[in-house]
Amino acid sequence: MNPMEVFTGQALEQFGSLASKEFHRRLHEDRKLCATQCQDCSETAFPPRLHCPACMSDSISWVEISAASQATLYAFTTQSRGLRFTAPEVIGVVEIPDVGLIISPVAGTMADLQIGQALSPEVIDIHEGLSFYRFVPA
Amino acid sequence: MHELAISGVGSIPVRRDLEAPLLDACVQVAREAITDAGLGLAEVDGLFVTPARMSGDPWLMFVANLAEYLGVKTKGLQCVENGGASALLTLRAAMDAVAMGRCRHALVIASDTRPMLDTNHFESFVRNVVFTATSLYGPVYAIAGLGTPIPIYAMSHQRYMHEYGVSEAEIAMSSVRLREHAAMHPEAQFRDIITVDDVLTSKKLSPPIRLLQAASISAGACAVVVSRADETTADKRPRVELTGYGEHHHESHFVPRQGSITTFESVKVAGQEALAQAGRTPQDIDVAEVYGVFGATELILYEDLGFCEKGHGAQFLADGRSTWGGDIVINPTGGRMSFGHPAGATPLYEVVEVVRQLRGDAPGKQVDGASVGLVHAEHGMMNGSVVCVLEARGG
Repeated sequence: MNPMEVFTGQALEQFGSLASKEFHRRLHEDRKLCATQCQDCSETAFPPRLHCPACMSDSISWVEISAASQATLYAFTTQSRGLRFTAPEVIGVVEIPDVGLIISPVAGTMADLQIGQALSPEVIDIHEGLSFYRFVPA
Repeated sequence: MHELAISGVGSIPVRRDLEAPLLDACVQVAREAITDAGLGLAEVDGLFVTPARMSGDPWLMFVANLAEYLGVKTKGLQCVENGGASALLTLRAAMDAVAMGRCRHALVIASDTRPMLDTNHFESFVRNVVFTATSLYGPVYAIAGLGTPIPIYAMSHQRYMHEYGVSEAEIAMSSVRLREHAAMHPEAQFRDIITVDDVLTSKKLSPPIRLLQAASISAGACAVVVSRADETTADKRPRVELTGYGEHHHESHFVPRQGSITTFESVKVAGQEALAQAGRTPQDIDVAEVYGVFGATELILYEDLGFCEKGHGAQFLADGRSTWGGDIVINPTGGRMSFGHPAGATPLYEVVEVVRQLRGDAPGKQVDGASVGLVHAEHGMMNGSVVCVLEARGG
């Protein structure tokens, strides 16, 4: 594995939470992009966490963000110098009803994408031990 | 609670790198601020600083190192960090200490050096950027591979154009105007006059943001002394009092899950709190320094602080209302895009500039008759903001 991925693993271990570790496990093993939801007050959280940021309940369930989640493209750009998904790859903010705004790589080009267009999520592999998500035009 | 004044200020020019080692640069600005306050080192009884570097290797107990090197005995010794807001939060720590009677004259020093990334050693370079990004964006968003936050601001810029029908050229004018201001300021890093065409043909960083619409990564250091207002030395020049303070942090970090990326709750709430405490309205402000790190961000701040209507920032600027001869002079230093941006020190440089303006001590760039000033700083993408109102009294 290249140094970038070795250090990414170390950094995730060092800065990770129980929720982020479970989030990455679900992406990699279950091939599912998930948020967390409070079973007491229904508040959704992303990035996920094991308590409710609205009512502090620790009764949390994992909910999948899927093609049925009605995601749309809120804003998008690219970056000339990034750690991943550098130009011409696109980085966006995606709006998902019941979840809100989340940052995500987006499949497509700066010329073709449009604010407001429908998107659906997919799981992508960074390397054999780590996966991430991106959104693709629906 | 004691009334507060900024009794002394000191600064060195913002440049690509510090000319002297960090400890020596801090001593230089500290000496200038203490002397400007009419004090001696023995009268300073608090030292409050920003971290030695905003990124890069940690410097453990920097504030204790600095206190020893300066030779100052204190009743308050503290280092405060929260990104771009650090220097104003450090100022608040000093304000609290003086207001509560713990300290009489608290010295605040803010500094930043460019991160010295070891590009000659590939592995340590990669480790540094990966660990910095993971700590900054958290263990979920880290994998999206953001380096600097420029793409996040770029999406705010794109949405601003989309929601308010403002063109790229209109936003580019903010860079041009701020460069006109910087051209008059000897401490500014970027002073060559530019045109809208220069801005729109400069290197694309994250569309729509181009190089001349982005704050630089710079080095600098500055200092102020916070004193009880009734203990500042008698002087012919006006005394600059801290009359309003506001601070508000939204629960989000970079992108609010629920909310807008073209208007910022923290800016509005902190601004309103500070103005209300001072008994002022935005229209009372003669001179302001705001933390506009990118072109559209600059204009959004004019709107959210109440200097003009929402969506009208570009027109307000184009009509000359934010410069000499207009309603208010905003960012007489040249702002973050032209003054240069040592993030750890930037907000205290804003204070230093407004204090000099309110004393009538800004030769060649004086805002005539300035008596009420405002400074703003933020962290994340405006997820948290600090606003101070300063006013000239007497003199």
